[in-house]
Amino acid sequence: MATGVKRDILRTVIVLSVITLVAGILLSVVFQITRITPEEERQRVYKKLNAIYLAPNGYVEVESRPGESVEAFYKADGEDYYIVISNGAGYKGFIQLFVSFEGTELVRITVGNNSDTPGIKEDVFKESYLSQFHGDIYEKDYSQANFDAVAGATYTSGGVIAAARNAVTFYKNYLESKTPEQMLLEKLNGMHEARNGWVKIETDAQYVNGMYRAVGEDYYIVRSTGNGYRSEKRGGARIELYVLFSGRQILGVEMGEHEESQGRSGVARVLSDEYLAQFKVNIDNVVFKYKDEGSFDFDTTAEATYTQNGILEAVTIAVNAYKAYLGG
Amino acid sequence: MNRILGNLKNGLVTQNPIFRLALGMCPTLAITTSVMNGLGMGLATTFVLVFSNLLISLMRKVIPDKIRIPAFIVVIATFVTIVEMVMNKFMFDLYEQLGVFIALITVNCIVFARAESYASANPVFDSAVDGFAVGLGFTVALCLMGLVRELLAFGTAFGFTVLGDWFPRISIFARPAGGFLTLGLLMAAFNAVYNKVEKALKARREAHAERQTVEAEAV
Repeated sequence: MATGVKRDILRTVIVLSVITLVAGILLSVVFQITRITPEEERQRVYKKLNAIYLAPNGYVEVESRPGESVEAFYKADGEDYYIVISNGAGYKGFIQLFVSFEGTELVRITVGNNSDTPGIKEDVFKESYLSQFHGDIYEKDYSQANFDAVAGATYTSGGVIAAARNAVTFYKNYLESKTPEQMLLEKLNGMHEARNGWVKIETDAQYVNGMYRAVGEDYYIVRSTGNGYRSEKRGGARIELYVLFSGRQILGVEMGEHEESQGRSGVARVLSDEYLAQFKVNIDNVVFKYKDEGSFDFDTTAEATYTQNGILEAVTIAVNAYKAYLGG
Repeated sequence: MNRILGNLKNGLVTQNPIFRLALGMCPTLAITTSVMNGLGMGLATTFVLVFSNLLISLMRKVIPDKIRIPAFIVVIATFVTIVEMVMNKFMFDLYEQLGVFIALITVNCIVFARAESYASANPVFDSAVDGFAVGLGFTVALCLMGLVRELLAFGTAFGFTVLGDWFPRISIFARPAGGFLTLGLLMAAFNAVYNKVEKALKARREAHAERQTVEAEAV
């Protein structure tokens, strides 16, 4: 009898051991085949980010796991476009939001993972509801009381409001914690990603805030200013431009600090990338003049004359400073 | 061949796990908010059913009766984990949609019922066919539920808009209450048709038998 019981126990142990051993081996083989590499994990996130905003140069992770309510923070490479992945407590766990910022403006909110109730949450996740968060983060008041909750979906609304506010708070902190040097470096690298960094070139050219050279490369950026509407008429700051040169070619022109009113359509057009793109020329083939120095080689519009003059002046100053540096 | 067809009929109609046996209610109500979810869950369960039935049938004479339940669970859980890993790697969107319900296939009573009542007492091939047939029946039922709920709640099928803005979206069908309602109505319709067809077939069989008796008597 005792021998029979012992045999039963032994058989049970052997059978269960064999089954679990085979299962373990099988699972480890499948695990090796289906393992998600860190690269694939990153690609999944980038796929989601590109579905929100297609960044031509892709995204770079600015900060990983920056905090409890912020999962990740990405920047469109070479652009002033940021996405904060934040979360807020909804009805059934956390609601994940992809909050996009352009400069100081919240431009888009996309809903990510969540487990809130289908059929109810859709009213909160609609663009018409999410657009209430859009706007300049320094002008808009992001207090909880300033946002509406959808009737019947109070918890989901609360989760979205909390996640949006978390993203804004984080992004504000990020912007404010940057030193001017960091912001300048980001701006320069945004125009051209220098492999070995940037070095400042001494210049005594008037109205030039700085001239920089990419170490070991033929790329230069001149930070020049021109007299715009505010500076001419209201005693405000001059319009600042960043002009990227390589050889005898202007590769790009971007706006820096200025006080021109973007609310006016004519001014907005003149400050736009499309307008500034006309300056991407060979500096030897075009005459650079400004104000009353004669006819321009560039497009002008009847609107925003002062702002246009300021931009033309800043570009001309940059070109002259660059030519002087090259000795041409 | 007849045995295979019989198994298929059994899994799809006579013993359809959802509409006839009312098994696997948890994923049925939870994930059928869209056809794609239903299809994904159905196919995942079918894979687990086929391979767990196959393996359990293969080992039916080796596994001692006293430990058959933990042994079945280890086998089923292994295949569920494989499905989960494969889905995570190759069908990530669907994997995110189905969430925890993939892991819960392990304790799905359909899988366990087939292992216990069929695979542990039948040959390997028959058990695999049985798993496939029951899985197919489960998949069809889930897709049907998903189709009705997705159409009524969102006006779409497989994510494509079918019913325009003229159709008022009935959001309750995307919620658990709508799941129960859809299940009840589909179950009633399925059984009404099934009973009617069965009755007609029975009447035809009886008439045929009676005719044969009369002919035999006449001879």
